[in-house]
Amino acid sequence: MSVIEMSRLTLVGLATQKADIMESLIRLGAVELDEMPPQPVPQSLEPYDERGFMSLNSVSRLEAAAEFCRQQDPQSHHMGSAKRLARAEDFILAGQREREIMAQLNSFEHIQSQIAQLRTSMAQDETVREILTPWDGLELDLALTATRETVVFAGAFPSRDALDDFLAQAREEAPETHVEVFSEDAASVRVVVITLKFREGLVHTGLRQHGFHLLPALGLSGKPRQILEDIADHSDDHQRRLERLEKEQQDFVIQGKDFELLHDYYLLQSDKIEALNCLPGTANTFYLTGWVPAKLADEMTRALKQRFLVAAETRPPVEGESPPVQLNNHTLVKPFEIIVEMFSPPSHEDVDPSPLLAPFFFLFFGMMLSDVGYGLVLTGLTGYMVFKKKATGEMGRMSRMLFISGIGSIIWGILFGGFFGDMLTVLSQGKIVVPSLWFNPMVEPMTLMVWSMLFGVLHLFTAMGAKIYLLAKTGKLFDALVDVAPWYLVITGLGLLIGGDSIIPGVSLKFAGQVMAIAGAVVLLLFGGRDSKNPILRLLKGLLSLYNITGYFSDILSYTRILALVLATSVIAMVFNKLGFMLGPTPVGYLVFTVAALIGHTLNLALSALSAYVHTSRLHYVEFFSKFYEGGGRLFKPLRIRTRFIQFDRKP
Amino acid sequence: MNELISLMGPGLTLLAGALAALLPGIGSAKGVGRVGEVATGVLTEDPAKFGKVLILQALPGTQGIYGLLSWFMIMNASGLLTGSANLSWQTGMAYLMASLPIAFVGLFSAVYQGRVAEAGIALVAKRPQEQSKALVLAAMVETYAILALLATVLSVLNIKPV
Repeated sequence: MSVIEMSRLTLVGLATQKADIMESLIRLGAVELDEMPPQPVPQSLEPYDERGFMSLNSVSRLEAAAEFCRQQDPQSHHMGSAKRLARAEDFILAGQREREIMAQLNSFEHIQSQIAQLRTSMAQDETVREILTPWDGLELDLALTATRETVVFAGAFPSRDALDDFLAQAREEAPETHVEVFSEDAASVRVVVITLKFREGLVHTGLRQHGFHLLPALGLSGKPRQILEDIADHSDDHQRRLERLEKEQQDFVIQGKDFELLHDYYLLQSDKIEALNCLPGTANTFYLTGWVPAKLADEMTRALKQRFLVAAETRPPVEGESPPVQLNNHTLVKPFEIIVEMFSPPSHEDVDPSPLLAPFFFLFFGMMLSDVGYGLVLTGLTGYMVFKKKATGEMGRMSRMLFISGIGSIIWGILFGGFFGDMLTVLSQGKIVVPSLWFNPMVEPMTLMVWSMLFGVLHLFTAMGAKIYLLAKTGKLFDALVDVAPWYLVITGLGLLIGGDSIIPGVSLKFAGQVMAIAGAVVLLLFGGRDSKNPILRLLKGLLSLYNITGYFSDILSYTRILALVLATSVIAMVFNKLGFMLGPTPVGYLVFTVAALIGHTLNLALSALSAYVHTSRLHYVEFFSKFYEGGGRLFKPLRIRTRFIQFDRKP
Repeated sequence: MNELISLMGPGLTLLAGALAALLPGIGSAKGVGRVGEVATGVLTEDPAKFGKVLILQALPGTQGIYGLLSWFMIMNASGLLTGSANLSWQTGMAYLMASLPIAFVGLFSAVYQGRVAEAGIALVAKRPQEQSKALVLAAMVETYAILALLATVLSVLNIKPV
């Protein structure tokens, strides 16, 4: 059984030692506490939620600052989101230095906001400069937009013609308008327009019709030259200030490590407080209940009793309790646990299906993505994630799973003869032909279809075998032998009937197939309705149970998707190779091919890998699990140190 | 009249390829677009879910790929791609019939798969760890596109251009 046994833990202790006991449990990371609603805190206890600087706000500020420092500091930049090793003493020290670190955080944020402000005003200056440079030399004060009777504004026409058209129109409709040309170039004619106030609306409409662009109201005063000179003066100043501030910020970046330590210290404290607030008890005692792995139970209670004054006991689970589960498998099977967990973890009475799922997942994923090139890329990428960047969490587990699956893909690529599709053949214009160790699905698709269904039958037989084993374990061996086992005969028999001539040359197994199928069908017919006393009803029910053949038929047919996916991957690869090489074996042609191949094969790899993962999962969840596995358990979630940036260096 | 009949072979074959390429493409565009709309909604609340919603958005896109694949197979098998085609109207008709499964099933299954994927995004928005379930639910619809692809491909591979 690859499900770890759990023991039920009950512990009663002194309220004064509550916090320390909790910290020890968190350090151990091996106990799952029962979920309990937050309890009212007795008056005699410290108000745990007032600890000076710690708050949700400071935690997120620290997180933002720590992230920024990681990005900027060349030393830690390569770590990405991996956790930094730190010693426990540094961690506790950070907690003690919290006042100092938070003050540093304040200064850091202050510098950042100054930089942001400075950048904004520099950008604004630049915009103004861009707008006003063509107007340099205009004698009009920008703040002057109107007098008592007139309005005046500056702007540009798109062309001399537009200006002339406007002037013609204005002469008729608003003769009091005067237009003074300021400057002209290929793109626009810059003018100043003066008109009487009551003509303003009409003139504006007319200007718009002729494509006039008004000079934006910048809220500045003075002549353009003056404004531009002011900006020029400032800009040096601003630049120097910016450089100085950025240098100061860079100096702070080294403090990033402190921000990380304090952030995780606060995380630990808040987790602890949350857990503490859920512990029921009296004024001087508390108690907790939960689950702990059976193997660790004795050792843990002994250790706790040594350090603290507690009463602790453990016992195996009783009928009706549902302990959490933790899976325990061989290193090669472990990466595939995530597939089972995503469906539903086993309940503590179930058998863990991971060791059965692992080899078939490896097989089917490899078949669907069969290509040496794609397999190498997939294994390479995930290998980098796993071994170099030491990815953890869900990403890490998926990477491990894909790493192994990629190897499967390489194997099947060798068997089917695919290396980035037919890239070598296309590039060498037919001279190099990658051989397939077994057969080439493009040439013999029917062979692959038959083998897909054969592997499917093997998959189903394994699932049925698991069902028989489970039934036997609970003493229902007879049920297993009459409900499940006959299907072995029926399916094999029918298979032999269809293809009996081609298995052993010269020998027709069709008759044997016939016998097997009939034998199996008879057993099902006789025992399918064994609940009924009435013999006629019993036979009818037996007949009905034979109807399940359709279910098996559709299950087996489902495996032909392997053929479809193999063809899809190969053909898309071929298309990209062919299209990419359309310019022929010329230098330009090779260049185009490289670009096209990079884009196309990356796309194909992503799509095919996704399809392979999804469809292999689906085959397992629907065809495989439905025969013997339901799940319905929940995973063991021990109280443990939750950190974002730091990982404890376990060296003493 | 004879000219018309001699044109029908390549014409019907091209029609077969065109149907295979265009109908599933329309379906995928609709499906993927629909999911994209919902995905952006989720991202306004939580941009960190981008990777997860992107995968769900990609799922209805496979029918378009299958359609293109079928187009390619038809063009290749009939010889039109290499320019050495000598197709009678009967062969053209055969290719047309062969392209029908993926053309129509691709269209409809992509649209429906888009709807399931859209619902899957709602699931992922609430419970990000259940993404795999959303993926598998959407993949159930794809089963039929795959079967149709198989029907088309195996038919095309067994037509002897004459």
